[in-house]
Amino acid sequence: MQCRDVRDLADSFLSEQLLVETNHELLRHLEGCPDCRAEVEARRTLRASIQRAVLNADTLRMREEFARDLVPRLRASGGGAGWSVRGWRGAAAAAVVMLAALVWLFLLSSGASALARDAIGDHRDCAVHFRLAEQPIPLDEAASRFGAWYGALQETPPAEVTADAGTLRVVGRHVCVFNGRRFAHIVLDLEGQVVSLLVTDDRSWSTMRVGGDERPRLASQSAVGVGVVTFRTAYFLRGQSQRAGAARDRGNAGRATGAASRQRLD
Amino acid sequence: MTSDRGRRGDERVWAAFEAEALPHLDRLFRLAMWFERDRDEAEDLVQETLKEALGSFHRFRPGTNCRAWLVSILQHVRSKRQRAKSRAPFVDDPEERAINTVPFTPPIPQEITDEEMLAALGRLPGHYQEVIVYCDVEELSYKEIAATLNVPIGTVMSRLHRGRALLRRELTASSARGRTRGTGR
Repeated sequence: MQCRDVRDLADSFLSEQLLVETNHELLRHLEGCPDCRAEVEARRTLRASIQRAVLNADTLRMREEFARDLVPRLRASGGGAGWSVRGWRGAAAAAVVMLAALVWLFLLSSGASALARDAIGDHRDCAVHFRLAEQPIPLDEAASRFGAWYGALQETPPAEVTADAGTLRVVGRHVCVFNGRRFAHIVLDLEGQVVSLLVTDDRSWSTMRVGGDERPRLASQSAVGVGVVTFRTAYFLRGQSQRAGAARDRGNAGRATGAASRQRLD
Repeated sequence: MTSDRGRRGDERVWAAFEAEALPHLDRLFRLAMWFERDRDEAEDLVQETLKEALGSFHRFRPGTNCRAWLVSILQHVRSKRQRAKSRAPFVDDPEERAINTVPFTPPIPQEITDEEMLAALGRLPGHYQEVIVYCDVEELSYKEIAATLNVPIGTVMSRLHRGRALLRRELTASSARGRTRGTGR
């Protein structure tokens, strides 16, 4: 193989598009030709520079609002996928839930506790930006791979739940991982706000402090040794919501202003 | 019961789409933004692309390159939009003929900033930008690029060759201009 051939084939070589034999011939040539080696390296650097420039350019970055709004719009356009209201089935299925933390994501709250802030940070990334290292997977897949209890969450909570703050509708259910902890993640819509129900089999709940000195308590135990853990309080988090005005008029959620505040669940 | 099953099927499609396709959203947007150079147009393009992708997700074969599949849909949507706007597609241009006559490949300047690279890439004719971005940024294979652009593989290779040579020429010229400015002349 001559230098001229190498120059012709260098791009295909870098794209791993050459036949095995041609590839070997080219590599043999490179071993003995510093000029061609330098040329191939220069082209490799050029390609990496192009990629870096495009992937790092601020001017090409997506607006966060676009990313946030796109997902519900897509779901709405997907032939009605997943939007229907399903009846309540199997409240007993809830007994498989080991630890549930209800986090009301009225966007970020500057005064939230570290625990709540982490949960918000994790799951804004998950539900809104999809920046997780591991791709979310469906609940049924998680049920077969990581534990049957994930499967029960396909129906629990039901598609529609009425709460003091308004009607919650399930818009998505999946399983995602953040910082090594696996969550079943139920995304709900509370009259235009995103609400996440996070469920994990993390057993550290027994030593967890939810707020002040309060600890989660075991509400019920199933025959297979798992149980529902509830908090007497949940954090209603509000920051500078786009719908702050609407939220202010909405019952319990509306009474939480600025920093996190607590509302009794029961 | 049937509708319940249908809804569950829809849920599964969405979950699979969410897991396979949506992680590529950021790169898909960058691609759209690069081609459109206009944020509103890029957002429309991405939304339309993902809508089409969701609608035909049953055609996606799990285990294959989802980004390449999405890029091919984006290209298809883009072409449709261009046709709708009656823009003439690139077929040939003086640059392409000129580059064929360039007897040597210019050297690559040692220090290139991202801004210089983007500016130089942006000065290339559109069909060279396409293949370079698909190949070097999206890392699609020649075969995938050919399918995406609906052109023979040979055309992809020749466009890549010419496009990269032209890009080097642009970078060299840009670097020379920078040096001239640096010396205060």
